[in-house]
Parts: sequence; structure tokens; C-alpha cells
Amino acid sequence: MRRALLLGTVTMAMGLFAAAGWWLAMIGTATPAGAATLCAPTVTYTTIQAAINAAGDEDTVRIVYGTSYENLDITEGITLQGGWSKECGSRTYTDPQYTVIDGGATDHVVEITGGSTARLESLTLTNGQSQKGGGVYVSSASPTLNNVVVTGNVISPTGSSSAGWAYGGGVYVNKGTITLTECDITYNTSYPGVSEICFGGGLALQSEPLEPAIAVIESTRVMSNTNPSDSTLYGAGLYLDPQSQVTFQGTDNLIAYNEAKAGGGVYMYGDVDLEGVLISDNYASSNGGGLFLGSGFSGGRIANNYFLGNSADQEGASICANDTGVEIANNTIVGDFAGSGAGIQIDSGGSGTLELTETTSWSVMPLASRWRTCLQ
Amino acid sequence: MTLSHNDVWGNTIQYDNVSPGTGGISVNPEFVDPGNGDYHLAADSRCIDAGTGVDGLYFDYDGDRRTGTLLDIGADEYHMDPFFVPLAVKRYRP
Repeated sequence: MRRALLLGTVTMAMGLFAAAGWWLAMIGTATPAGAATLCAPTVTYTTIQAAINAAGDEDTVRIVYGTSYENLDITEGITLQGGWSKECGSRTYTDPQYTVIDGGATDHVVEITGGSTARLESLTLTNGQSQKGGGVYVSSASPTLNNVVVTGNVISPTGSSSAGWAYGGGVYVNKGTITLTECDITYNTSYPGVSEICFGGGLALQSEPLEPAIAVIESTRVMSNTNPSDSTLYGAGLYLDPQSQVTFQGTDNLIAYNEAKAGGGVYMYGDVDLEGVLISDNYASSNGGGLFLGSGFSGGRIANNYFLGNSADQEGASICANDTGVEIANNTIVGDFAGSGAGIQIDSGGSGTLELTETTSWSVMPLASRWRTCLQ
Repeated sequence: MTLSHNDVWGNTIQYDNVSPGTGGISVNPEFVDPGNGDYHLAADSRCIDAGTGVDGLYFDYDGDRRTGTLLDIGADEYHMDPFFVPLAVKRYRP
């Protein structure tokens, strides 16, 4: 009896251990793959791309500060974090200027696809060149860029038909959501001397039917993106396709000192909402120094924005809008300058019912509102 | 195109080939300190309560709430600086 009891106790104890082991195995299985941290460039991963290829969802790739010459492809939900010391012993810099990825003017610097929710931190992405997304190309993905500088990238059109047009010198988003926090998108350009059309020197959102491209932007500056040799760049700061969605959070976003042929600050359509952003000191060599509103769409609202000191050589120093049924409300417009036309230019040829309401227009010159053709 | 409740001021010609519409004014908007980049409305701005509000636009650029039947023209809704009002609190004693 005692022997049977002892045997029973041992059996029960073994059962408990077995159960514990099973649970431990379950816990091990449940541990997220993101626990892994990789370091590049190192002896193990001689390139950043090699570390990305070895990483899985939720893993972090720490990048040693310095300049790496690569074009990165990301399809997983990884984190790329710049500023680490050799062998990633410590985080030396959070300032993005110390960790540079140079695309060698051959492709996007970073391509993010495949449903990735990647997070990029403390990086400078430069010298990329592509038809779409010189610096960052996003398609069917939802990445976050935090404290990233996208600078000195180029878009290059491949032909004069719409298939050859170029989009997004700094950042291009198609079918996905990009979140930008504390980023600088600066000094990106269209390829010099080409007459084919380029859209969005800094950022371009290109939507598909029922699949909008979305940007959530906070504490970010889109500045000094330009149109060299007077090429055909529309929307030197932002280009927003029909159906696109952009949300500016907080009060320190800035679209400034961008230069385009039309739409120095922003080129967009009348079904897009543009709210709560400061658009200042942008320039268009034709029309729409601050904003050019394209034709053919309606239902959007341009509200709660400051337009300060924008200029155009021709019409619409602050806003050049086609009359397509958009509501322009509660904006403050100050100190614009148009070479031959109005501060706010409304194209009378449209069939919509554009409303201009509750807006302050205090312009240096010349006219506040005038009905004439709003050409690109 | 329709215009209403705009303040168009300081231009060589205020309107060309378009009428100001309902509630249009042409006065200095009186910003707080435009020389130093502060384009909030000053307390004596004529843009304050010169509008009637826009459907669905419940907050201004700063995130301040647009409230009331008369609302301000421009991106900023004027708010007085908050000031402390001493309350006479009667402590509950059972």
C-alpha cells in the first residue's frame, strides 16, 4: 500500500513535471520572434541587407553609424535603428546625420513592400534615384519613419505618357499608410532638364481605386525640394493623388521653400482634405505658389491652414484652384506675390461650386480673387 | 464659386471679377505680432466673431475648439488667455 502510494506520488510528480515542461514549451513557442537583435555591418552581416534578410517580424537591425552604400528591400515588420557603435555595443548617436544610407543613384534607397510595418529610426536616406520614390518607395505596406532625414534624392521619368511619369522624389506611397514623425524631407528634386511630368518632389501619395495612399504626419518638415532647370515638377513639397488622405498632427509641421512649375508647396485634387498645416515661402514658376488644385474632383476641404509668403510668376500666388466644388474655409493667407495675377486665383471654367469662406487674405499684392484660367 | 465671410485686405485690388459675398469685410486682421511670425488674432481683431462657422470644422489650427454661434475668420479661433477664478468651495461636513 505504501509502495503503491509512493509509486502514485512519483507518477503524479512526473506528470506535473511533464505538464510544466509542456507549458514551458508553450511559453517558448509564444515568445515573439521580435526578440532577436541583429547588428550590421559586421563580420556576421557584412551588409545591412544581409541582416534584414536574416531578420523576421519584430526583430531589430541595429546599424553601425557611418555611411553604407546600399539599396534596401524590406518586406517584414522589422525595426532599422541607426547610430550604433562598432559591433553595436552602445548607441552612440540618435541624430540621423551620423548614419547615412547612400543609394548610389541607381534605385530607391529603401523599398518597403509585402505588408511590412517596418519602423526606421535615426537614419539619413540619400542619393536614391528612381521613377517612383527616389528615397523611399512604399507599396502595400504601412511603415513608420521616426527621426529620419530623406534628402538629396531624385525622381526620373521614363517617358512622356502617364506610365512614364515620375512620383515622389523623397518618399512615394502607393496602397499603404506611412507615418512620419520628426522627419525632414529636404532637397529632393526631379531629374534636371526633362520635360516629362514629375509629381511630388518631397512626398507623393498615389492612390488606386478603393485603395487610398495615406500619410500621417507629425513634427515633420518638407522643405527645399526643387525643380531644377525649370523641369516639369508639379507639387514640389507634396503631391496628393485623388482619394489620397493626409493628416497633419500637432502644430509644427511645415511645407516651406519648395519650388515647382505648378504647386510650389502642394499639388492636389478637390476630393482631398488639406487641414492644419503651415505652407510658407513656396514658389511656382507658373501658377499656384502655395497650392495648386487640379481639376476633375470635388468634395474636399482646404481648412485651418496658414499660407504665408508664397509666390508665383503667373497666377495664384497662394492658391490656384480649379472651380470643382471644393471648400476653402478658415485659412489665413498673408504676404503672397503673383507676377501677373491674383493671390487667390479661381478658374472660372470649372463646373463645380467652389466655396471660399471665412478666410483672411492679407496679401502684399496684387489681387485677392479673380476668375481666370488656372493653368499648370 | 461663392464667397462669404472673408477678410480681404491690403491688396492692390481687393476683388477682381468676383464679389465679396455675404459678410465680406476688408480690414486689417490685426495679428498679434506678424513681424515675429505670430499670426494669432489679437484681442481687438475685427475677424473675431465675424464668421458663422463651417459645418464639421470644430477645431482651429492650434486644436482649440471653435464654439459659439459667431466664429472667427481665419485659421485661428481667438481665445482669451485663461485666468484664475477663485472658487468658494464649501467643504462637505457630515
